Amino acid sequence: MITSNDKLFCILASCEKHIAVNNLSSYMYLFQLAGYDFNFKFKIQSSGLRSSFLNNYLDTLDNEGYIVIDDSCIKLTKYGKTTLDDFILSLDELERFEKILNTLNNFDKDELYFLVIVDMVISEVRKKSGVEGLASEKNKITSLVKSLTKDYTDEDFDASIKFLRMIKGDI
Amino acid sequence: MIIRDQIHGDMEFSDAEMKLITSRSFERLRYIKQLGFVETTFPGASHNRYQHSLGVCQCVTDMYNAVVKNYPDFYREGDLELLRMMALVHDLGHSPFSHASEALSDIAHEDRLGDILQYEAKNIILAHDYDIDSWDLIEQVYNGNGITYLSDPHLITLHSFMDFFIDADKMDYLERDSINCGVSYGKFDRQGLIRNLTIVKDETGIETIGILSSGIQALESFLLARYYMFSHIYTNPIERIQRYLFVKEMQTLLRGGKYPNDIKQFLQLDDTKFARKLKSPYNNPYVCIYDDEFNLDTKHLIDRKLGRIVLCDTPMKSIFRKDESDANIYIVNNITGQVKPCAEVSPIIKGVEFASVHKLRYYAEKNVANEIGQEILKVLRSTKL
Repeated sequence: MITSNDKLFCILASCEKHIAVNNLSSYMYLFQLAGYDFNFKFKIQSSGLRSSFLNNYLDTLDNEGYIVIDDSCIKLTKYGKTTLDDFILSLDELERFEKILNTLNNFDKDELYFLVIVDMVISEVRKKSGVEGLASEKNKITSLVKSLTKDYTDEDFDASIKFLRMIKGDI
Repeated sequence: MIIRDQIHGDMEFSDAEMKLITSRSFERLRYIKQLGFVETTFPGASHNRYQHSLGVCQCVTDMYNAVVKNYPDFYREGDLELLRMMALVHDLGHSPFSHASEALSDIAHEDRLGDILQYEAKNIILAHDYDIDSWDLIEQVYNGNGITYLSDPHLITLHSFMDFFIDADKMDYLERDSINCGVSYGKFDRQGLIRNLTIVKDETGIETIGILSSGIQALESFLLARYYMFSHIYTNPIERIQRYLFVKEMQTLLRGGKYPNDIKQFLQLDDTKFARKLKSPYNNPYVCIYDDEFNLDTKHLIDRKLGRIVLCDTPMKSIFRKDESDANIYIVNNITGQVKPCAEVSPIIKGVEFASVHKLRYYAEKNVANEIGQEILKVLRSTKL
């Protein structure tokens, strides 16, 4: 746990400048990679990335008056904003969080989904073949990512790997 | 073997399926009530997860057969066996008293499934061409992740037979629960809905479950049934307070106040282990003194004035889509083949498309209920809410 409530903090901070409902699951997937602890499980469906745990939690936050969902966009209420402002983070952690958040804010829905898929596929291959197996399975990884995303390019794939490493704190 | 069911009539199971059905983990479902404490208000609702799991298996069979009839290209050898196994195992991870005890578990019931399937691996027999164990394949497709699942878009579509707005699980529980509760509004035209299921391809070629336009009324009846069942049965005010009292009492009965994470210990637990020990189902000191549609301003006001002496409950459930960005159900015109979102074809669906059941309720102890109920009215009148 990086804050007193990572789940609440990451959602409120992601929604501060309004966020499309569709993008939030990708944000939360990626913040989980960055070490924030909420233990959400994610699945890939025909319609994209989904987490029933996140959906249920959003209902709770809506219920308790932290957020409002309006026209497919999640916005913070005054109460949500005050709660967000009350979170305490070290300066280093705040800088790291903002760096990730600002980068994510520049991505569109498809780019965010691309990042998630790249990580998901690599994690699953690593689970099966081990870290040593990753290099020999590169073709399999890229062909899987291609089949699950739109407009695949090798440049985007390499940039994603770099960004994912940054999120995880590897670089 | 043939098993007779109250909803589906005769249902046939293969020898391989019977091996799972007669396993200890599956038999355990006989002793877990489908609706927890709903039985307090609707005494007929004593049906269990065993009946439901068999019923879901029949529903998914009917769904797949209909889809293949309407869209033959979707057929693939082994699909049905995989879907039937998924249906049979989908509730194996449920805790005693079903959803009523979710707060007593650190792990969601879907997340226990992998461990249980591994534990029952010898009873899970499934012929397939994938390079993984049968139990692993079932877990990946049911949970919607894993390398084999991600490698095959066809599996992603199969997943939706068990997890979509219209899936085998929902179809069985809506009808079964409504019949056992003795309410008629949970019924819908199941056969009409299933008969019209088909496959729709989106612009990227991803296949999802869709409906032929001749099934639009059946879809309407399904969504309305879901709305009624959630507003009247699944968020019933008496069941909700029973649930609260049950969780409090169970926390004193369980070591550490939670169900064990260890799968062997967990599988020892069912409703019968606790039913006789529990006092809360017979000793409810609370009554509901306020029950209305959710309103945040009202909640803040009542919480501020009376929050210390009342219990608040705000059950919430989306009936169909949460918002515009959510997935959708597409309708395929029987004659032209044109594909449209269902709300564009049906004014009834348009009306309930983003509907949710969302309540604001307060409970107080019986001996002070009248007095506090009057206080709430005064608070609301003073602010014209």
